[in-house]
Amino acid sequence: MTTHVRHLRGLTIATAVMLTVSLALVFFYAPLDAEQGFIQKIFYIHVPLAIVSLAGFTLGGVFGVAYLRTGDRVWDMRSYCAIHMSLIFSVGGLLAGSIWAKGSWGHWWVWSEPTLVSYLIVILLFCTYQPLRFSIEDPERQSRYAAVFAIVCGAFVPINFIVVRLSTQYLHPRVLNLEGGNLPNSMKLAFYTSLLAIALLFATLMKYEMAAKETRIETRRLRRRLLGDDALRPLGRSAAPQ
Amino acid sequence: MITFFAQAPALPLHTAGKYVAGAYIVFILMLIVYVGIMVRRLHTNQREIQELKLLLEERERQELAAPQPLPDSEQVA
Repeated sequence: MTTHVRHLRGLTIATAVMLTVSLALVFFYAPLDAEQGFIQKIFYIHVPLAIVSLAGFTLGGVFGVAYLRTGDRVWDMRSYCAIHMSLIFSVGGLLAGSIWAKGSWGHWWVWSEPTLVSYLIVILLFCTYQPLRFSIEDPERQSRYAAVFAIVCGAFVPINFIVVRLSTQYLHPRVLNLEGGNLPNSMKLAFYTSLLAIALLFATLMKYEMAAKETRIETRRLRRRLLGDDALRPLGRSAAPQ
Repeated sequence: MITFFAQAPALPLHTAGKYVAGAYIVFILMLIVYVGIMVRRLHTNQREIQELKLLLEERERQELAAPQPLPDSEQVA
């Protein structure tokens, strides 16, 4: 538990401050978009959520590699928590994007838009991660198979992103690129602050999730030491690392 | 802070305000639900730790109350 609780208070305060600053910048500093007007403010929550969730899925794959290399259960836990948090963030990004689409295009969803559909495919792919874990009873095998799944799907995320960027038929705006994009500086400041705030939120919640899981494992260990194996409530099959 | 808000541009909530509010409310609601789940889990853990603490205290009390074995010298005598 100690490894994940360390720095948790500082991280929580930094996240709260950054979220407040980013909201203030978005609503009181960044100018209104000339084309879209006020609805463009959704951009500052939708894009950071999407970017951080995709990065989190890839990070889950990187942790999966570390688990297969070392066999240390903590990497399996990190991989599990990164994918778990990314799923939550991606649902948030998807909902925010859908609301923006309704306001801008008049539709909640556009099936012919490759950016939206590819993002949905990535989310659905990672939705199968937990059922996969749940279907395997042996914890050792569960962790190994989950790591392989995380690596393969984690590698799919950047490939999918690049393929969609190469697509020519899209409605979805392209405001960011390697040259810095076509945002004015004031919008860029608000956007990068929001991105940092959401990334910090991801890191903080992931640490809380890991701390909670480790506390649970530690409590079970204590119960076993005090009362013996018979006193443990049957755990059953679980998707979370044990 | 008051000066900052006084100089800040007014938010044009009448046009696309409901969509912007909707997107941010969804985000905040998800955050609240997640934190709520974490709080519930924390309470469960605290309850279990409390239970274990009581069991440990009970066991220690029983050990103290049990008759102490005699020292080796007395047993010989």
